[in-house]
Amino acid sequence: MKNSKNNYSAAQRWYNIKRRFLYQVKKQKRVLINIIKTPQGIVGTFIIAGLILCALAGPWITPQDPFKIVIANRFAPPSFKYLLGTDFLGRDILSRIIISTRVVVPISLSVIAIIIIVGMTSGMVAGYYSNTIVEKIIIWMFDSINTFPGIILVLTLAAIVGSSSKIVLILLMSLWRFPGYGRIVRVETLSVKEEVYIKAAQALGVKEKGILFHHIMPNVIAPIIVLAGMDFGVVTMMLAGLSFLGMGVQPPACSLGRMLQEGYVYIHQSSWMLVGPILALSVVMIGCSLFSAGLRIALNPKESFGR
Amino acid sequence: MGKYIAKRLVLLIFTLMGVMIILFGMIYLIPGDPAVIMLHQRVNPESKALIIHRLGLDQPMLIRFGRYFWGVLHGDFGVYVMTNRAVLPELLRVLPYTLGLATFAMGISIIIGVTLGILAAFYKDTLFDHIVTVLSTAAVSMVDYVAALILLLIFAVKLDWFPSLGIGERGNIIDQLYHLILPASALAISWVGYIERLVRESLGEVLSSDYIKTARLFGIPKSSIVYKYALRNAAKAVVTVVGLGWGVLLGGAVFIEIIFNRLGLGKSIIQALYSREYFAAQGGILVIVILFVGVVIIVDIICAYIDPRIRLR
Repeated sequence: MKNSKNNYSAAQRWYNIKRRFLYQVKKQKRVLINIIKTPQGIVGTFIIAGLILCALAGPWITPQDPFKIVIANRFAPPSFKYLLGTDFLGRDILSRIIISTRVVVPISLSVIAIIIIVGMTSGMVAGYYSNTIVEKIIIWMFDSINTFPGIILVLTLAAIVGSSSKIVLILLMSLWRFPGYGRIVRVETLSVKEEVYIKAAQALGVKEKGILFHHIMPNVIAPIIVLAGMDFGVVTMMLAGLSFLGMGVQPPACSLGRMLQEGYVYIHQSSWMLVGPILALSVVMIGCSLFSAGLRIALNPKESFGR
Repeated sequence: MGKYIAKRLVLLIFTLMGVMIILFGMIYLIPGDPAVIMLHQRVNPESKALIIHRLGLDQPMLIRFGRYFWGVLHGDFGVYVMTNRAVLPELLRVLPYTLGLATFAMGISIIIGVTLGILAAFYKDTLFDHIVTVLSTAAVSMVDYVAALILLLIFAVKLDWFPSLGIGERGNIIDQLYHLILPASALAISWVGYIERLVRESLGEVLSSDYIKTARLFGIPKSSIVYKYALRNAAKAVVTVVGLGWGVLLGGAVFIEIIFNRLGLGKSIIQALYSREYFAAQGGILVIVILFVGVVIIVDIICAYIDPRIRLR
């Protein structure tokens, strides 16, 4: 490691490792065009675009009414009428999956937006004012939050505060995820800070706010964007996990986690109730990791897949 | 070395203080009156007054925090409001099952992951390397509860090879191990991928460094270079990830414990939350955090032992 100063604690080393072999990227031009040029990128972009399309056009593209209960058709296997089968109340599983994206996608997107903003600001401030009390306090905060087992932290807070409101869910997820971003940005900032153009800006008397947001931010944002592409999947999984335990999005809104939970309960009656949501979750997860792989290559053309 | 450990310990004490402040603050996040929420339907004026007095909810905040802190120092991690039993013995009873699950899962991941990683770094850019890379990339993005449901569906429900629920017969080690296979595999899948990639990356980096090239020039066989010189340098990253990963699994196994209906720390906390025993959940989280912090300091000491540069700082 170049800078042994960032190596002293296990938690920081964990993020250094993450950063080193996943996010060694630099700012590039025409990133979006370059993503589509890579095979991973185009599949990932396609899946994420499909997801967002489902969220936007949800009620108009479902093949059946997702809330219509037809007891006669319960536990139906896949057919042309019900492409992924029906659940224990005879509701169409595919339609329910499509309609569930309407809840999940806005929440995940807001979480990602919040953690990028908060994580980047706190990381930049900690990195820029290194060796001051400000840095110590911010790192202490990161350490304290990171020491919690992430899943349990979110679950407990969701149970205590109550997860009926989406804003609470969004804030909880952001609280859980942002220290990782902060740590990576801090280390990036520490190395960017030593560059000549920062020294020049300081010598010219540019205000600190200007240096932070105008000169440092564009140079530390690239790794964070790749991480965010991957975290979109992680946050979606966490939301599903919360609903699986009955602490996420509340019924009647449908969510993948709730469908998984129902499938788990009726696992001996019908396996189709599990197959649909599992497929959907896997597609989202794979889409996100392919998208961030493509993003990584687009931001650093020297790398190839998996390296 | 002693100075380094002392420094780490002081920092950890501060971190633990921060954790306890967050845990203590959680109770204030309960919307409404905590006593009413915890008593739920059984609330009446006498029981409410009793609970408020017993939990010290009528005291000012600083005194309550002092009491909480003092209690934790003396091994009092809170009580179940309904039964007035202490939380700690209950947690210690289920702790071995979680430790066993996390250790077994991490063991599988290390054995498979490190082996595949060394082989992939050794046979770089061959077909084997490419297959392993694709598989591990897929494995990393696997979520544990989805993996658990897939395994449960295939191996327990459809094929009926493994038991689907429970922890096995008491005292029967073979049966308990048999019950451990599916949950541990579900937990291990993503870690196998992660460790494989990590070993391959760090080994590849070390193998292309100058001192390894020098050793090659001296004519030392490649395999003995890997085991004698390269692995030790690649080990630092692996020890960090494995150690912290094990710590993460202690609390992160909650979905697995619920899906396979096993006893465990995570499940105890969730059950406490379901029955609104917030003080019990608070104690459970603190136990996990203390274990995690213990793992972190052990990892730090091992890494400082492997790589003297860390402790010289």
